[in-house]
Amino acid sequence: MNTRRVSFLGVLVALALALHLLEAQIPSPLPWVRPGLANLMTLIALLTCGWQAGLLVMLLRVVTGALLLGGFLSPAFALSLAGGLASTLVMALMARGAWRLWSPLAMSAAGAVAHGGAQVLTLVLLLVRTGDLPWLLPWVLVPSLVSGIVTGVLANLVLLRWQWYFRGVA
Amino acid sequence: MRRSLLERIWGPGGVRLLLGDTAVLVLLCAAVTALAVPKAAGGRPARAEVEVAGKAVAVLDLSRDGVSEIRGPLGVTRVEVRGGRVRVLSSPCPRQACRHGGWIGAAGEMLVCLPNEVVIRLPGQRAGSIDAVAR
Repeated sequence: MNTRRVSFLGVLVALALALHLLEAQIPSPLPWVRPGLANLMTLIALLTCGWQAGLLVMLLRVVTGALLLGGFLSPAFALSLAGGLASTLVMALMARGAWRLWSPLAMSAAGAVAHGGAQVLTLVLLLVRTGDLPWLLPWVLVPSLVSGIVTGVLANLVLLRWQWYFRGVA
Repeated sequence: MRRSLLERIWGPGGVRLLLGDTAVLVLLCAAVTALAVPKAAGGRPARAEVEVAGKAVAVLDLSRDGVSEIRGPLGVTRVEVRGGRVRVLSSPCPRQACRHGGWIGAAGEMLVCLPNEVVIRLPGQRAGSIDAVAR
């Protein structure tokens, strides 16, 4: 990994962390509903430097975010980590078809739904331990899909406009 | 240089990507609907949520009979689950209004003990019923 890449990923982690902290300040009637803009940085890392870079950016963001906001290793942290891992996995699998079969918009949307689904699954397995959380599922998945599409449009705009820059890094 | 919205978001050769994205989004919508819709239908709730002083402290599985002890500011409120319903068995509060609430078992019902700040809630929408009738 060359110096240029390391510093680029550092900037991505810093931006992701800033967005993560900013989003945590937004009051919401549904506390788990977040715009998910921090995922933009995971997506950019994934597409420019490979899936390992995406995983790294996501992990560093989730861990440092939890350390700064409090709640490291708490149930909320477990939810955040599970969501991050699931969305990064889905996006990494879809990265093969990026700009050929689909654009990063679709990757972001699928990642966001995986994020929400994994969170509900973790909640059921870890905290509630009753086989189902029926009423919660639509309240998580539908906002996830919407925020994933919004983040995806932004991802496409950024990736296209800054193409010359990302090409130099990767 | 003015570019179309399509080109701004999907770049050159955007129509193909737009179609690919649409296909993925349709699949996602279908998956979300399939997962979410049958579950959203009402019925008898499977669990009761217990809050003390506004904070969720426990979720009781209504398929498992038993007595749970919930600690509030005044002392221990004992909550019984039997046959898919839930009631307050004993409470340290002076007026015992929560205990007199009896059994609840339908979505949207709740038992409240204000002195001990305990709220037992059955999640879901009350199906076509009214709150109360004043005569």
